[in-house]
Amino acid sequence: MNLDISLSPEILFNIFGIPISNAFFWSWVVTLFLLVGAFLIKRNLKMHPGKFQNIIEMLVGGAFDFVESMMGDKKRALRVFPLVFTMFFFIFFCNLLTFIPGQAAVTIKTAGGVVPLFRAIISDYSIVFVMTMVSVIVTQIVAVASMGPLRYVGKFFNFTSPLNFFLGLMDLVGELAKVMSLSFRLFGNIFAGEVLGAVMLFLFPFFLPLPFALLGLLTAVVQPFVFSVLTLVFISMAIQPEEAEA
Amino acid sequence: MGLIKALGIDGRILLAQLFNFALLMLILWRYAYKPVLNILEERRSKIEQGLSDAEAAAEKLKQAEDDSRQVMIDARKEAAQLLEKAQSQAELRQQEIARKAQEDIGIMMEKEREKIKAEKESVLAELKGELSDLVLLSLKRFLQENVDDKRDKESIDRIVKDLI
Repeated sequence: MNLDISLSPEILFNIFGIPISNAFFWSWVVTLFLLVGAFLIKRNLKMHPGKFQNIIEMLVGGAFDFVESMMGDKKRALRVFPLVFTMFFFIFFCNLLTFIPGQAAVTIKTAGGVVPLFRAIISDYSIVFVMTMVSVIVTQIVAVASMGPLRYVGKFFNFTSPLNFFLGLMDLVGELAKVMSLSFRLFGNIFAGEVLGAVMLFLFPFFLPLPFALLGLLTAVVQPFVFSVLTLVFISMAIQPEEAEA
Repeated sequence: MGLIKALGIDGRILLAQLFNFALLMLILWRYAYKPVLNILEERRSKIEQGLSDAEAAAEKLKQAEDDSRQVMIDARKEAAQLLEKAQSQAELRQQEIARKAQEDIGIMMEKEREKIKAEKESVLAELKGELSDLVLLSLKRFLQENVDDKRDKESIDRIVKDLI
């Protein structure tokens, strides 16, 4: 038994020359699962809720109230809510998928050799990167829309004084650093958790991985929350830059 | 470039992931969040409506109670007024009747009195007539039997003496 740790997801097969990795494959599975769930929810919504609908309502309603309290405005909250809540929900379910037991044991023989069938979806950097880019680009769009293009550019290239010019450049660096900090926080946490779990399983497969699995469960809940709330904070700061700076 | 390769990033995969995520977001928004939020809002407004309705109903009930109480008070007052009026009218009528009765009694008594008086007079007159006849008769008889000269003379004397 050897311990294989790969930073990149393993390629399962190719479709039209596009390599489909295990993480990508499972991300589609999770997406499909959520889509079907959404249709079922839509079809079974009742004015007098059952237990399941109660839970869904509590989740969605509570999340919306939270977003509304952050945005301070119902109309704005309605605009950002789908984005941030989908981020949270999708990442959360991707993380939950890793807790189906026995995954590490399943491998598949491909053209590139024997690779594991399962991989934590969020430990594939590309999906994290896509969501991060969505978050950062939406933030920039919101900033341009609320400040106007001139003031938006003026925020980064301020020639009123050397200090302001320097601070403007720092802001620009900060915006770019958001991509790194946001994406690697999520990716790093999940990937590290996976590696840790694999190592513990490798060292001693009984009892030892359990506390790390529990720790991973905590991460699985907290990291999506952090990711989506940070996106929310970025967007709300882009809407009210003066208030946020004050 | 080495990092990108190590992380397994592929432009086509990124696009596919973006599409994946956008689709998920749209569908979830359309079919999960929106209906759930709508139903929450609907329920909230329904509850609010129910509460305000209940409040209005309570207000109406109170109003109705006040109204009925007022009606009762009015009715009682009216009844009391009616009773009083009837009483005073009855009293008035009673007085009238009593007065009339007294009057009638007075008239009747007067009539009776007159009748009695007339009867008395007629009886008296009759009595007088009968008495004088009786006296005359008895006198005649007395005179026929017992009167002699002496006695005649004595009685005449006595009468004369009495007269004088």
